[in-house]
Amino acid sequence: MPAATEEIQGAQEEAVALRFLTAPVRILSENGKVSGLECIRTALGDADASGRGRPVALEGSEFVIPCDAVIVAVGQRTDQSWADQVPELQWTRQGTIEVDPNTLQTSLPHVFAGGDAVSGPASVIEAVAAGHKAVAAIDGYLRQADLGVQAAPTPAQKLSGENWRPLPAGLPAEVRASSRRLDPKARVASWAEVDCGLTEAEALHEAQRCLNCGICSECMECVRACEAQAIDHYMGAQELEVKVGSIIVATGYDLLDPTPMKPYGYGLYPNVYTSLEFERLSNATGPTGGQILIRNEEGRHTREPQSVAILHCVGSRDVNYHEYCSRVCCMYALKYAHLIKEKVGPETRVYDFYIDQRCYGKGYEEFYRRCQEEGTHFIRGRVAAITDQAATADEAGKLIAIAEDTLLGQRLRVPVDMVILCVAMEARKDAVEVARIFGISQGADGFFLEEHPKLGPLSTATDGVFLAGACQSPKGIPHTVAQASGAAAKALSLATRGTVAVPSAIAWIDPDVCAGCRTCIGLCPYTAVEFDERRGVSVVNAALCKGCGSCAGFCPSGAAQVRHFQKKQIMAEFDGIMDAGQAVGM
Amino acid sequence: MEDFEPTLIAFVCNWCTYTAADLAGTSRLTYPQNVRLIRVMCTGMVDPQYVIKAFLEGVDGVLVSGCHPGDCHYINGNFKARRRIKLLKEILPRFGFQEERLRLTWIGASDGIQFAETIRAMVAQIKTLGPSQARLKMVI
Ligand code: FES
Repeated sequence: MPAATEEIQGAQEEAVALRFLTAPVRILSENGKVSGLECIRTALGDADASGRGRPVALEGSEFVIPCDAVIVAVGQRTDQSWADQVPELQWTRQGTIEVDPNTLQTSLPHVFAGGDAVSGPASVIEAVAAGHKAVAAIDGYLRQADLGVQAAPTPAQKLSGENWRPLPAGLPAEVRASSRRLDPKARVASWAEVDCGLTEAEALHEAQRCLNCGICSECMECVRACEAQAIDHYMGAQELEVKVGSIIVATGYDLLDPTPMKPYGYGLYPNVYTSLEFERLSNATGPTGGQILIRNEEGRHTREPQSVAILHCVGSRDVNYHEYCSRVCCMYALKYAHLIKEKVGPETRVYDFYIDQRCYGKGYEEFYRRCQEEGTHFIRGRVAAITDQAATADEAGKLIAIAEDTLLGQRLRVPVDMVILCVAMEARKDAVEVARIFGISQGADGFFLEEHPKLGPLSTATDGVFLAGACQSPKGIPHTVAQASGAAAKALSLATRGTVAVPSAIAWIDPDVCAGCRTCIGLCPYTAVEFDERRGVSVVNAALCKGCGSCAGFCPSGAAQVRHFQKKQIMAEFDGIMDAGQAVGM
Repeated sequence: MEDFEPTLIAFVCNWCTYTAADLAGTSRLTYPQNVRLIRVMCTGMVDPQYVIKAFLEGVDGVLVSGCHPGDCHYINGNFKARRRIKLLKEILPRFGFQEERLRLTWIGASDGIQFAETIRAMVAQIKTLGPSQARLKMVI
């Protein structure tokens, strides 16, 4: 019986008796009403073309099913009433139109057929597919292409079996949710929908089983959903060539990843957040709509925390990670303390573990005072570890911050619901390449080096390349804005002048001395030296020369000299040094 | 010989070692005052004649110091310097100067500490070598 398993099951649940190998013979009637159905038992005979045995009636096995209604389930066949008008058209034995399976061409070369008339009863989708196939074949037929080649079925695409994201290890297997069905007793007595579907909670849970292993399938739903029309699937990488006179490098910073700092349990406990994650959590457009909530084991947001620990200097001021101070953490930590008190309630206990409170800006110290007055507990000391191993009853189910209060000289265990790590700002991972591209250098901490710490904080060793923001050193928004404005002004001052002065300290080759050996031409990294055939001497192109002195250091005749660093100048400098040394008796 | 204070000349490139020396200064690092710096734009412009002249004039040691390989502001000036210093080190003994009196180092712009250390180490080393030949002759 070619029915879906669930259909058969459903019928059996509703106590429908299935009689296999039974064929109807006639309907019995009494007083003009149905009284029963006479059937005959059959046995399976030889298999036919489709592999199914043909039933053979067993003589003498007739029996009657008493009943007062008979429902006949009629089949479908092709309407052939018009067939004799087109006698050339050939039909199959099943009464469908005979076609070439690849091109859907009928026995009439200019007639193509598809749909139920060809396949027998099938679905709309298959009919549409046949339509597409036929249209392509007709197109080829009209252009007199070789249909045999054109319509050969495309080999089924082999999937690489690799095109998905790696699945996280250790995922528990969960069974697929199945929808609830109406009780068989209830459903035989009504027309109510049998398949009740999933409840909202079940559907949400089922959706969460998705491992998100697929890469975007380009269903384009996000394009439709984004009201700002910010999504463009067709945007590709572009290489642009822009002619500019100056460049401001403002490539920003990376956040230190605290996962390797095992004692803090980041990534292990669901309620240990980095500063940026907390920022997102408390944001009105965040996952909780701005509510500060802790997560349960499955990562779902549940309730508001009763206590929060904020850890300063995670990876900053730490010889094992970064020696420098990230500068912004103290102030945002205070902001978080204030936000928690404001959003969750003033009774929430907030513990702020710091080494030093660096509240150096305008209005900052006042804000610190305000947070103290709001009741945040400031503890001077670094947290050694975060653990969930409770030692006492009130630590149960909490995260415990183990620290030392260095002002009291006391060891502490502070049970909290949530921990925020104020992680360090660090130079971007690609800073080395960026520095190479722009010809600028990096300091020991990886941040880009300004030309001079006091006198040239915006410019770099390369003329026309300026720095702004956290790519130069960790800094907050006001300082970034100030530096960026300064860098923009520097760039503008170059642009408004329109021309740049060639530096004076570039090479020059004395044509009277030059012997034309051309050694300098091979040495120059900027191909700034050319040979003047007429005069037989090498000449420096002032616009290209950067003044490195590679030529001057080697010139056998001493003709090549860098202005301001000429041989006689260096020698004079040296003599001066020696004389001065002699004068003081060295 | 106890109170021998050597005179050192250092040719330092503007972009790395000179900046490092500046940093050593602004960081208030101390290092022996026996060294005199001569700033050049790049170690690649240090003419071997400068080094020889310095030795002939009685300097006890010469340091040439520039950017780390690959970091030269002028692409490869430091490599050119390395070639010249190698040759100089071969020639110097013929003039009667130990080749240890000439040193080539790479000190990056942020290595203030390393700059101070290099100078300290070099002064200590020259002290053990004693005054240079040229100086002794001059004394005579
Ligand atoms: S610029 Fe420093 S060695 Fe060339």
